[in-house]
Amino acid sequence: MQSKASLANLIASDYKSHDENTLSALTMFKFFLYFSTVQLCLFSLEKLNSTRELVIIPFTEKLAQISTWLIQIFDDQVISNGIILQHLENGFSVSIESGCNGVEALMILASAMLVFPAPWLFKLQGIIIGFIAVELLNIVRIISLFYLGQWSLVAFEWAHLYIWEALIMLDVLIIFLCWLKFLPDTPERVTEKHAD
Amino acid sequence: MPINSLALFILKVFLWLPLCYWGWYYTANETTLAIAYLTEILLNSSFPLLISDIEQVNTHLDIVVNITLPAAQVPKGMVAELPIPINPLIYNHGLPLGLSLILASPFSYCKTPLNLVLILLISIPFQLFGICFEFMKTLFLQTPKELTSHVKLDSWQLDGIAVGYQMGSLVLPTVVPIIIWLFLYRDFIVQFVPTLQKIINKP
Repeated sequence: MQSKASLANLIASDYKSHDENTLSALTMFKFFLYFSTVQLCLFSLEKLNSTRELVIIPFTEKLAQISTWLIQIFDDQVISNGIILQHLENGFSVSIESGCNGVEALMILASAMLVFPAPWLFKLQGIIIGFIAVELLNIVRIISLFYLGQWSLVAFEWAHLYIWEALIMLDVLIIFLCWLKFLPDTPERVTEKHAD
Repeated sequence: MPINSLALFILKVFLWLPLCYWGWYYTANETTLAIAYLTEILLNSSFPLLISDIEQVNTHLDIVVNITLPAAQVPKGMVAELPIPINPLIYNHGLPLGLSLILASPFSYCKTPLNLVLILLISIPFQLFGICFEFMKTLFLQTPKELTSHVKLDSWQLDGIAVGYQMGSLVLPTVVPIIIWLFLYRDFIVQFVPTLQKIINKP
C-alpha cells in the first residue's frame, strides 16, 4: 500500500507544475487554442480557389523552377513544366502537389509565431527566416524524392509519405525553438529583472 | 540552457528517429488491426447500414461500402459493393517523431513510459479522424453520385469533408505529436528559453 502511494506521489510530483519555473497547463492550453484557431483560418484561406490560383500554384511553379535549376548544375537532363519535374532520359516525373510545397509547414510555423506574445517585428523576422529555412529543406526534399523515385518506388513512397513529412515538421519545431531562444527582452521585462 | 544543449537534444532526436520508425512500422500490422476495429465502430455509428465490412490487408484497410445500382446492372445472387482502400499509416506518420522527442527529452522512470503510452493513446482519435475523412472524401467527392444516392449531404457538408480531409492528412499527423510533446515537456522547454515562463505567465 505504501509503495503504491509512493509511486503515485512520484508520478504526481513529476507532473506537478513547479509554480515559478514552469508554464501552467492552462497557459499552454490557451496557446494551443489560439494556435489552432489561427491555423484553421490560414488553412481555410489557403484552400480558397482564388488563393490557390493567385498564390499557391505560381509559388509551387517557382519552387519547381528553382529545384530544376539546382538539379541542372549536375544533371542537364531535367526540365520543369509548371509544377512537374521530368527527367528526359528515363521519363520519370514528379508533380509538386498540395502538401509537398511546404506551405502547410509554413502556416503551422507562422500560426505559432503569430499567437506567441512577442514584438511584431520579431514575429515578422521569424516568419521570414522560417520561410527561407522551410523552403530550403523542402527543395532538398523535392530533389531527393526525384532521384529516390528513379532508384526505387518503394523507397520513394516511404520517404514521401512518412519520413520527409516528419523531417519538415521537425525543422519547423527547431526553427520555433531557436526563435524562442532569441526572444528579445522588452523594457518591461528588463525592469522586472532589475527589480528582482 | 545554452544553444549547444538544443543542438544536443536535436542530435538525440535524430538518433532515436530511425529506431522509432522501425518500431512503428514493425508493429503496424497489430496497430492497424486495432484501428480497423475502431474505424468500423465509428463508421457504423455515423453511417448505419452503409459499411458492409472492413478488411485488413497487411497495413492497409479496405472499407467495403454498400452502394446503390439499378437492379438490372447487378448480376443475380450478387450485391453491389465498393471497396475503398485506405492506408492508415499516413494518418499516424508523426508518431515516430513524437516518440523520438519524448525519448530524447530528460528520462524519468515514471514520466517517460507514461508519456510514451499517453502519446500512443492520444494519437488514435486523430488517426481515426484522418481515416474517416479520407473515406468520406473518396465516397462522397470522388465516387459517381448515383452510387451513393441513398446518402444525402448538403454542399456545406461536402466542403467540410474536403477541409477535414486536408487537415487530417496534411496538418494533424505531424502537428499533434509535437503539440503533445510541447505540452508534456513544458518544464524542459523552459530550460531552453528561461525567459519563456515570465513572458507567457505574465498577467
